Amino acid sequence: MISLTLDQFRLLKYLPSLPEQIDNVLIATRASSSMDYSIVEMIQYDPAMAMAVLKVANTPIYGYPGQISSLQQAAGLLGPGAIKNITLRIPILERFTDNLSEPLPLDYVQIWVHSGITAAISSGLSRLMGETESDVSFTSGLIHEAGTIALSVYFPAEFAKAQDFAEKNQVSLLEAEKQVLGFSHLEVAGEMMDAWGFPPQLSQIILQCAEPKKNNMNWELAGIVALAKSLASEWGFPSGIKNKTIEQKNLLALLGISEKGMGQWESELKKYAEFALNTMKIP
Amino acid sequence: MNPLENEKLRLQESETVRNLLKRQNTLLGNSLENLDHLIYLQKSINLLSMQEICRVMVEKLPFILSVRYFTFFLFDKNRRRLSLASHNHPDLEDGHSLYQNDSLIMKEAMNSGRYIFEQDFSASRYFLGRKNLLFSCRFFVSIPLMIENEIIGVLNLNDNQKGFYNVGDLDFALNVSEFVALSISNAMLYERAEKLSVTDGLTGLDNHQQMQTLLKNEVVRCGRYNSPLSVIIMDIDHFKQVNDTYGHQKGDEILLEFSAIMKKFCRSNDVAARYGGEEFFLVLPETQIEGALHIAERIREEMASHKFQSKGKGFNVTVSCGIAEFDSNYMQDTTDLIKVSDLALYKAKNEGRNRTIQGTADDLLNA
Repeated sequence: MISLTLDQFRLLKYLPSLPEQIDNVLIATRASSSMDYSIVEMIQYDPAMAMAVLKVANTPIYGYPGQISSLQQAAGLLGPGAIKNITLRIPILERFTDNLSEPLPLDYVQIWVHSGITAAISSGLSRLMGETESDVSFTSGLIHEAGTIALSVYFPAEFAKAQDFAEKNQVSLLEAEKQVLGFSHLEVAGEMMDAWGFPPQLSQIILQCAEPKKNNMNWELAGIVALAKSLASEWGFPSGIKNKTIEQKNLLALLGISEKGMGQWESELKKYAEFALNTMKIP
Repeated sequence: MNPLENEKLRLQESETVRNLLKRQNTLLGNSLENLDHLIYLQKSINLLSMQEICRVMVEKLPFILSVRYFTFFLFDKNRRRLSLASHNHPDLEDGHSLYQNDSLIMKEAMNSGRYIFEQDFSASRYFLGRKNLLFSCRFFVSIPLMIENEIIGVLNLNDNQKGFYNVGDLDFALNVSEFVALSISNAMLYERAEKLSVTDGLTGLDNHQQMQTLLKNEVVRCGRYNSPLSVIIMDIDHFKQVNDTYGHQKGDEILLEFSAIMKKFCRSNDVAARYGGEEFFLVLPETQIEGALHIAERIREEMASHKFQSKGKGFNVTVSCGIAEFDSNYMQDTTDLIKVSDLALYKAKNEGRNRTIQGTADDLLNA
């Protein structure tokens, strides 16, 4: 076991975002009258910026502490000016922490795209299923890899050890993290969400999205995120992380969706994914 | 310098610059965050109700100032007392107040007009040896809130998660306290102006306009719930003569004394007003005419028995009272009710003053 504890993640102030995304924001702040709209549009597919915006929106200063579960609610509450200032505070994700270091162990562009597509499909699935909280579903899909990002960026050596363990022992990364670190990236996300004052609903969804079970709180939204994640991977946007996967047919059964029904929804869901991909200005 | 050394130097320098930029960026980020907080606090605290400002302080101040506990005391310079207006201490009772000299630290902060910042209050002279089990760390900040050199209150800050309070935190707290002071001062001025607009300047009773508004509301309520409503109109007998004999200052003193007597016999829902000049009015909700008569007589007797003094000589002043009860069968509105009571007062004057006369709806027909 490595002496890394979950408590250390409570001290993190922000997750870093991709340099390309930060650059997009900086360009947008110099743009003309449409700048505010562009910023909100840009951050809606960025997990790090979404986490930061949610963190601020859930502080007591804006009047709804621990009650804002979606990026859309947060954007409405904070307004473009405050969001712009939040995005300007977000650190840049450096794949090389110094001139001599090895690159960070993951392909973050791939994770960003995967997260954005998962968000779009989650939201689409929610709407098609008649779920009222499609915005929460979207947000959960977007930030479901927050723990992986935090762990791999801020503690790359420990994360690499878990990756090695998974590789050598042919187990999922989730399992390897538990063996090597004593906790998983999902718990990391849960801990950060708790420390950042997110509503319990969000962490309940993220904590069980690797294995949603009926009767757990918010199992349905967790199931939607898990299915969206699986569809995103199947349609060419995997996260690149070797994680435990749940068979799609099990997820469909859990959510009460027939294979035929899923087939009918596919083209519409792909449109959501395509829209997300076009909106994300990631090269 | 050979190419290898050159390359090494280039890498070193780029790393140094990168690290510096990161540090600069963090500092700028923190400033931007503080600025956002300040702007939002200003937006949410820019209120005209003192009560609302205090509620916002409890909700937002601990987070903005990165502290666990705060107390905010309002300072009454006439009474030299500090009253707890807003706080989030579990051990303190709302409405707590203390004499300025009872808190050495707040007294010094107010007298010097400067903040007092102690990293360890138990080692400071203010709280030497004292402990508070509520606090996990021991800093203490006391900031006087001032508007144009006038102290309006004191903000005290205690305890936080990180275990210390640094100069940056303090600097920010001082900026925030200025916003808070401005909002509180605005609200106090507004509340004062609002009170003055409905109050008689000399007696502190409701003024004529306010009495008319409240009476109108009571008449509507009385019609809706079929509840009794009575009024008393009172006039100080021979007031002009008193003014001419003893002077206008004495006249004011009589008006003040009579107001005090009226307040003494008023219940919490009654409305005591100065109707104009030496005329006064009492609105008595949920009161039948017998009750009004009883109250009018007590006021009249108390006034008649009060001995006023002028140049060593004692003299008495009496009042005449007219009373009426609202009768929805014969009266349409406040005008009718006032008219009945006024006619009764006229009778009291005509019948020799220093008495109470009961008016009836029939008087309206004869008027």
